[in-house]
Amino acid sequence: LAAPRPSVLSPMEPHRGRFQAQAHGFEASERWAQGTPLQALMGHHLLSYLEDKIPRKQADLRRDGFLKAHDLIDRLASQGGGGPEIKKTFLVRGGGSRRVDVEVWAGWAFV
Amino acid sequence: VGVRLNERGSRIVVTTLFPRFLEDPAEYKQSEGFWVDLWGRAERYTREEFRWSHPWLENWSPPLRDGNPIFSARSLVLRRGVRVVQLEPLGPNLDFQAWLDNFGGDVTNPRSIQELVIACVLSEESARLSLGVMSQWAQGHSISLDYREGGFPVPTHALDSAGSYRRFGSAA
Repeated sequence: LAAPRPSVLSPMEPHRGRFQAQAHGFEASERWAQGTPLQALMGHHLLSYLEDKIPRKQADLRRDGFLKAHDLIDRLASQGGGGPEIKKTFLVRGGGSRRVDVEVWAGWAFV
Repeated sequence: VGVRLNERGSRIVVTTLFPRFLEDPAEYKQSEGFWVDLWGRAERYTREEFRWSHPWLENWSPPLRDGNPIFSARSLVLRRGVRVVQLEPLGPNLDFQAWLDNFGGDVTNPRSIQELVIACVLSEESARLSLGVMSQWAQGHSISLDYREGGFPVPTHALDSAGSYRRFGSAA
């Protein structure tokens, strides 16, 4: 799968953020940085790409976290998007520090 | 469910506070107030010096009221943040972990914020652990974390020389 990047990543772009799958000793992420707010559909694509690119076992352990992250995108999209600073952590209960993070660093996302 | 070891290596049964915070709006508001008060104790000596302000995150309306985060604060002087994720209780035992992360870019990015993240079921015991680590962080001190069995990160200062939780005393 090719990453569905919406534009060239640049720290100067006004709309930036990241999806992250983490645990102690494991980290993978998909970022966006662009001139226009990230569309909700592109957010779903990036999140699904992250889930697909990490090892299957790591993805399975975070299945609930990925589902909740997708749900967050939909909830924010129903409100017209979210920003400028959002960070939500979906922790795997009973799974150490395994988690999925949704981060809007600047601008607006999930419109 | 989280870290459950006490100083003897056995599980700690805790007194959970506001266990129905996700269902009861009144309990949610009480939980929010609890964390604001706890933070006030953690940063009372550094409030003006480091210009801590809260809330930092959760900027949408209507609020989701999911405890994620239930509290956040930021100091642009220190380029540090604090984020607390309050978890729904799944059992009677201590459920607490803390880790460091970055917001806004990598640690090399001068605009990024290094954040202390606490994820816990709110109890008297987890509040004491939180106060200890938040106080260190608010004062600009470094925090070292120890990864327990199962990959649970906890602040090293909360552990004794044997790697078990220190006996819980009165809060600072």
